[in-house]
Formats: sequence, structure tokens, C-alpha cells
Amino acid sequence: MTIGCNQIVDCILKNCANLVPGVKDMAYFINYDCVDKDLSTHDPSNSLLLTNLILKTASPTCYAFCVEGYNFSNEHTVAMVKKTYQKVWDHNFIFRIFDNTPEVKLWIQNAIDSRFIIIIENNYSKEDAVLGDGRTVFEVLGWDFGLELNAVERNVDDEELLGGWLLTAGCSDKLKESLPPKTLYVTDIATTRLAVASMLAPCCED
Amino acid sequence: MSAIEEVITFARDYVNHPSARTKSRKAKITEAIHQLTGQVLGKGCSTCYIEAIFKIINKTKMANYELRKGYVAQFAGQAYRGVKSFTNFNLQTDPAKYEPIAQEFLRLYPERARYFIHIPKNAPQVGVTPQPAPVFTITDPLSKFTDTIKSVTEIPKVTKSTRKKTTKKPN
Repeated sequence: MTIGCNQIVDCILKNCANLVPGVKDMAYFINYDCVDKDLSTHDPSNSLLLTNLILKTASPTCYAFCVEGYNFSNEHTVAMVKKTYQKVWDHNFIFRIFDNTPEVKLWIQNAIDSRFIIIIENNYSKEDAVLGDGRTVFEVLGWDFGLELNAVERNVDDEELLGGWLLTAGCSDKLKESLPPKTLYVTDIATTRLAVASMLAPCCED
Repeated sequence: MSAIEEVITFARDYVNHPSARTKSRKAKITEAIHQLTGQVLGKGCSTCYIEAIFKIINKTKMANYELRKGYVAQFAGQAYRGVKSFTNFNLQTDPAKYEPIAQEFLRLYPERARYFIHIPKNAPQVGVTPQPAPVFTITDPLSKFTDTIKSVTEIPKVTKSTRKKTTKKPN
């Protein structure tokens, strides 16, 4: 066994910053097969810090596709799952689509049969003069296996959604993620935003 | 010559002179646009061919330097020509400004060529830094040894006369 492997090696001190809950309405979906894991890089001392997320050059072109909610309609939860021998992580992303066009239905139908990773943007952006501001903003869900749609529902009489779609993306029943969601942070928050922007599909600009 | 290159050669002539719009040229345009974008041209649409020519020209213009999606090229230390970082978006929207910067980036960090999808053929070779040719000098191995031997100082010879004679006394 490696010395220091799976052992606590650091402290957690009081956070004087005010936590801000919730995620932004815009989330970015990337087809799982589009992520170039060979070229993407992690911080050498922390495998939860993704320092480069690179997309493959494939046909059809790989993009990060925007899914935009409305008025804090996106939700994210993460939970540890205790298995017999190891502990794993369940990543969940609940989002709502306020429309019911044939294009929306086609999008849902395609998503049902696919696996994808999701980049979410947290509202909480911690200021840190030493390590850099905004290291808490972007997170990547489903890095190991990708997420899938576990529940899709539309109730035309729903008073909140008014006939929109409620979708739940998460890990598969058997294979869960080995780690919590990864933080995406490329040098600083401005560069991270540039990196995300460089992946966006042309339809995000509409 | 590839279909794309061929289309570029006759593009001006094709657009300006209706007599130059032959079947073989139309076939080349169809082939080139399919290679570039996957688009299938309708045979009956004559303006589609001209639109396709413009698409081909624009696409091939932009394909000089192309970065992988998600990668931000960053200069460590100080900025080059006022630019600290750039993405593929910059290369596509302002190639005149950013292509020399990409070239400099590759010169400084040849190992990061893997983050580029396209590097122009006439760009300086990346990954190989020209080294000066090694100079070999031929030396006579024997002279080397004789010089070394000469440099060893001679030990003064011990002669018999210098030694003191000792006589053993009987016990």
C-alpha cells in the first residue's frame, strides 16, 4: 500500500466566505465519447481538479451543447453510495425544459439513448487571493462513465411547469462514479470561462 | 491535386463566366463541399454551386491553425504581442492577428502541438529544434599516451652507493 494513499493529509478550517447555494440556469452537455481523456489534464496533486477539458476531433463535430433553464430551474445533488467493499458517488442533475416542440422531443429522445458529461456552473464563487478566485464555480459531472437520463416526465396539468418537461440525469444503477464531481479550473476563472466558451456549439449563440 | 484545391483554382472563372460552369467542374464542387462539410448538393440548384464555392474558400482560409475545442493556449510569463492566451475562436475570427501568435506559441512550446488540429504545412517545423552538427577531431591515440607518460615526473634512482651499509652484530 502506498504511504499516504486514502489517508487524511490536510486540515479544513473555518470558511469565512458566505456560501451561495444553487447552480446557474445554463448547463453544458457533452457527449461522453467526445471527451478526449488522453489530452485532458488534472492537477498532479489533486485528481478532483481538472485543469484542461479537451474535446475530440470527430465527426459529427464534438461540442458542448447548452441546455438553458429558467429562474433557478436546474438542480444538482451528489451523494456517496456505500457498496460492499468500496464507496462510490452518485451524481444527479435535475433540469426542466419549458417547451414541447418536436425539436425538444427529438432532443429528449436522442438524450435517452446517450451518455454525456455535464458542466454546471455553481452560484458560489469563492474569492481566494492565494489559490485564485472562482475555483468553486465550474464542476464536471459524470467524468468516469457519463450520466444518462434516469427519469423523464411531462404532466400537462402541472401548475409549476405548465406542461414542460422534467428530466433527471444521473449515474446508471450499477456503475457509479469513483469520485465526487470534478472541479474545472484552467489557471484562473477568466481562462476557465474561455475554455468553456471554446467548446460551445453554434446553437448556444442563438 | 485534391478536389478542394482544384475548386479554388477555377472558382473565380466559374463565378464570373456561365460558360465555365461545366459538368465536370460541378462534380468537383460537389465532391469538395462533401469532403469539407458533409453537405450533399442538389443537382438542379445552380446557385447552390456558387454558394458552395464561397463556403469552400472560407473554410480553407480558416484551416491554417486550428486548436482543439476546450484548449486555451497560454503563454507562461509575459504576453506575446499583448496576448496572454487565445482559443480557436480567436484564430477563426481574427486570423491575421492570431496566426503569428500561434506560430510563436508553437516555437516556444513545440510539445503542445498535440493541442492543434491544424498546423499549416509551411509553418516552421515543431518538435524538432535544429542542432549544430557535431565536430569530430581525429587525434593520434599513441601521442596522447606518450604525452601522459612524459608528464609523470621521474623518480630518482636509488643506487647502491647511497645506501648505508649495515653490518649485523653477532648476538
